[in-house]
Amino acid sequence: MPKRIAIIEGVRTPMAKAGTSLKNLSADNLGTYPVKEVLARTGIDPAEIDEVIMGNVAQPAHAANIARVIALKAGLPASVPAVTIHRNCASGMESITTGALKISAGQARIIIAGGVESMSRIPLLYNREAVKFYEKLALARSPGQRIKILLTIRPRYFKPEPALVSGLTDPISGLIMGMTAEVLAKEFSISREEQDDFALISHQRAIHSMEAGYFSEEIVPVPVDTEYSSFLEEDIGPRKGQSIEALARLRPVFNRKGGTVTVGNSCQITDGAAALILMSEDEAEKRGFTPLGFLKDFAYAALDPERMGLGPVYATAKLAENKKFSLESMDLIEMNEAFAAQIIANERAFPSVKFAEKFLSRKEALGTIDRSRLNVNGGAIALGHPVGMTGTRIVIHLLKELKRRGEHQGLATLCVGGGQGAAIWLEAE
Amino acid sequence: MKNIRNWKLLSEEKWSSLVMDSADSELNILTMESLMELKSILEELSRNDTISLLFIESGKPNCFIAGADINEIQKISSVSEGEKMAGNGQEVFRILEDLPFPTCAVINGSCFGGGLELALACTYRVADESSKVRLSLPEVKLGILPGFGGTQRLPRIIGEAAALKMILSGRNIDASRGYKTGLIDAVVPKGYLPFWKKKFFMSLKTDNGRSIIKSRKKRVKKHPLLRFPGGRSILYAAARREIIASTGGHYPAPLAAWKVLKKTAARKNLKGYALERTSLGKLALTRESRHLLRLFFIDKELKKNQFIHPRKKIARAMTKRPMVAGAGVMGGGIAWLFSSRKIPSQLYDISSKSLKNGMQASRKLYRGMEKKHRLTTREAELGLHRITPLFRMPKQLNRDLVIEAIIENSDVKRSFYKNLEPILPDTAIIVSNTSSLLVSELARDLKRPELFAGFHFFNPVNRMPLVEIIPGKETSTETIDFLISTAIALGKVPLVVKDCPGFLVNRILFPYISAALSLAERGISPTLIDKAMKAFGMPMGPFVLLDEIGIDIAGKVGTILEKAYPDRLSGSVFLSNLVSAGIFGKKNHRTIMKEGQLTRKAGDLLPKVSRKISLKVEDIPSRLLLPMINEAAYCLSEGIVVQADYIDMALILGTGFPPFRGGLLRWADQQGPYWAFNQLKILLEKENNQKPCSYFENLSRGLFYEEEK
Repeated sequence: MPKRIAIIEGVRTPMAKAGTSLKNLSADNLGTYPVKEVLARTGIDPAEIDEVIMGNVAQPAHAANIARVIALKAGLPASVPAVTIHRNCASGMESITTGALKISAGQARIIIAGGVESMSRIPLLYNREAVKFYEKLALARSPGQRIKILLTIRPRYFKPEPALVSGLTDPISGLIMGMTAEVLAKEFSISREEQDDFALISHQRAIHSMEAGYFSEEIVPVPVDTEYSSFLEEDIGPRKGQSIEALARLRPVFNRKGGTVTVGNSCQITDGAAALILMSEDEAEKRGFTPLGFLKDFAYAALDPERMGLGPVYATAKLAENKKFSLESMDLIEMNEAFAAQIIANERAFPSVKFAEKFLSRKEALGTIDRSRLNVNGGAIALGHPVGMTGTRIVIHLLKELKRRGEHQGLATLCVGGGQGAAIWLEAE
Repeated sequence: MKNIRNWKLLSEEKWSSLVMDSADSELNILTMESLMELKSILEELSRNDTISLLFIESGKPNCFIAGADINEIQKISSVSEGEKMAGNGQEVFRILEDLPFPTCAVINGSCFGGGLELALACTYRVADESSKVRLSLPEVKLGILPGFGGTQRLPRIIGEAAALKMILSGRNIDASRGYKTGLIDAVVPKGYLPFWKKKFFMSLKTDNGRSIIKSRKKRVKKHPLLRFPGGRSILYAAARREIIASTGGHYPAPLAAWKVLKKTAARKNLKGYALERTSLGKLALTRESRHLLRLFFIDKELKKNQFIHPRKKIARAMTKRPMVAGAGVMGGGIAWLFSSRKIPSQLYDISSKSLKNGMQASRKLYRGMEKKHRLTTREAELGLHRITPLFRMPKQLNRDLVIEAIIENSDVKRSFYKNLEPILPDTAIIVSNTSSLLVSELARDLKRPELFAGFHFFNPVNRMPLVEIIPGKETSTETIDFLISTAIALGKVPLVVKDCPGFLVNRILFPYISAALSLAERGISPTLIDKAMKAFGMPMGPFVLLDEIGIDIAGKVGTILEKAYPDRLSGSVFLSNLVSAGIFGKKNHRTIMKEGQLTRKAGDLLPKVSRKISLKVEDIPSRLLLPMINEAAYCLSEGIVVQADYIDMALILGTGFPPFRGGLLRWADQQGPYWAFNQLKILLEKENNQKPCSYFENLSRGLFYEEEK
């Protein structure tokens, strides 16, 4: 990036495990609240927004180009264009970097970028056989024919295909995401105990941050449904009483025999939305804003889909081609916790010279990742991972946490299903 | 045809169009002039044998014909004059009906009263698909009835039962409802009208319109009661009961319309038109109609004449980015009001529970509209999205108006403004929805007092049409104009009121409540008092009113007003007993009245009296209204508002004072010269050794209005 891009303000909704508090709110309704809130907090006239860019993975059938639906529901004038972006788990980060590029290229002055996901609302699909049945039924010409076709109905037609499971399965390797974590656990010899230990830390840190109110700056409460029955004001993922014993009792889910990855040491399936406002540094200065922080540079990288969890090393290595970037100078790192095994694999790959030589065509390692600087307020294992939204959330949280601590440099990085990685270098003043 | 100012006759190849375009007004109005013009055009056309089809259309956007000229109705000074006027209209529409070729009204918007009667005299009616199309015969709302043949033609077209409902209620229906009832023969998208006309012309040619009439008759549902002998009188008896229930029998117009329909709707001859004419002539002279017409004009005046810079465009600006601070009952209602008028607003509160309640209140109002099919679930959801609930105050608040509706405490409010002013743009206006605090007092510490005023909505916000605008000492004239425009945009009637405790409505209302409490304390049962006031025409008695507004709130407002007007108001033991017993009214489900009867719990809190005062039931209303009249006189003498009819209108819109009475001061005048003054003199001397307001001495013959003299 030739010039850094200012992030003026960003907020997110509380995150709720799929099928719980936010299950009655559709993704497009959920997404309006952070958009309205950033507009209110900055006081920017909605007509001045040049584009709304939202990341979203499970794009709902009733809200095609969900970014446009969100923009209009949030009160942006009809004249503001909007686009929905899909880069899997990095969709909420891609929206930010795409916006930054548009601003750099002089195509836009102010952009709302964000991410939204209602994993509760990912549909159940009819299986292929049932679809064929309905097709035939629709083509029936006479009542007699219709009855004849109706008689061919079989109980197995009623077995739905959850789109959630299909969506989390890599179509190339055929592995469900959890299995890619098992792959890394084997490659890096990561024990079940190590994984559970990390999961526990995530919960403990999240609980501490909640109690200390660190999240309250970034959270906008949202109604649990369109009836406004109540407002959800806090995340519901973190468990106060989480213990190593409870984690140890869980059975592996992906590889039932001899596996190590459990629901306890994986990220939660969650609903949530986030949005932030981007503009050039000059524009921010002209308008008298004190930005939350700046986007310095970013990189996306790709790798073997089976090892997608290592995305952060690959992407960070690419980011490090920018000579000004160094891992040592990062005060804080947010690395999305898809799986504890995947985080630990990255912790081992980052400082490894061997790994660097073999996979990253680098002579030196990227550097060590100090756990005391990594996901300091917990991550997706405790808070949840609404796939299209997380990228935006970790950027907002990283900047707010840097600001709270009076620190400056930060790295936000994600692994991406399908075998990609994203890394974004942020700066707070 | 020369000197025709309001109509244009356009001839096309196959048909002609007669386009109404009122010369002197934004809407099409059927003045006597335009009616006479129409007559001469129609007479000439009736001799023309080249025309095969005539469309009657409007040259105004979104308005077919808005009705007869109300100014002319108001000028009617005798029964025969009214009869003549109706007769003129009837005659013109008869000529229209009897034309030797078919006619079709092309309805493109509001089609009210005389406008609909004109359409009814056409052979066919087509409406465009837009939501602007509204059809009604609203005459009874002005104390008269449809006099240009509406009572005769409507039942013949849509059936007696449906016509009865439409005429007695005066309510409007939209195009699709009109189609379902048979009133409209086709609903056509605006852009398709030219094609439709061709098709329509062709179909008339082939079967002389039989298929259209057949389809219309199919849609007209015959009321089940009309199918057997004797059913008709049951139907009419039920309709009459409904009128009595909803109007208390205080309004002669619906009863007269009922009578006309009952006597004539089933007849085939023309005698019904004569009865319609005479009934109109009689109704136009009733006191009730005079009152309703006058109120119609005051309503217009309040929306037009209060601007201080009526010419300046900038002074007509209204809010585009409002915030409502405080999500209580009022705040939530105001936010809904903005949303319902398509203005996005922010609703702020420090308590998330209040915000939830505020948003739910809006949700409920939208649900109600959904149930009445006034909008769809999708529209309601979008409407709610227009309200942004804010849990924290932004550091920079980019709003042009903040309506403060937080708790009624001067210190809290002032400190709220103190934090608000620096984060707002320099031009933003702050208003308070206070009901009892002085505006100038609230403006004390402001840096920009010129941009501050009182903006007082009434509860429930969605139903009460009045907003009091209270300038403080330093409020700028532009601020006042901005607030007037905003109130009008919200569909409310603005009333600019001078700053004083209670402003206008509460200040005058409280002596009434206080008098009711004092009667109760002296042995007159609240049940009896409520009954007497309902019979007078009030929408509810004073004790049910207390239950509605909240007894604790009434107590608080009462304390403030008692302090402000100590010689006229004194505290009530009964009221303070109720408050300390936790009987707050409807909001906590502990009420004084239940189904019109005093509850036992409340009854026990009445102070014991050794000797009841003696008061006839029929004297109760004047006993309660006299203190109001006295306070109204004080308001006039202090210039709180400048005209007596503003007070009358404010009480009608703000408290539901019965419109057929014409208003509090009208009613006082009608009791006779010096009546109010003399009655007050006796009453006040006996009560607390006071005198009526000295303002009465300036009034000639003790009357508030010139015309009544």
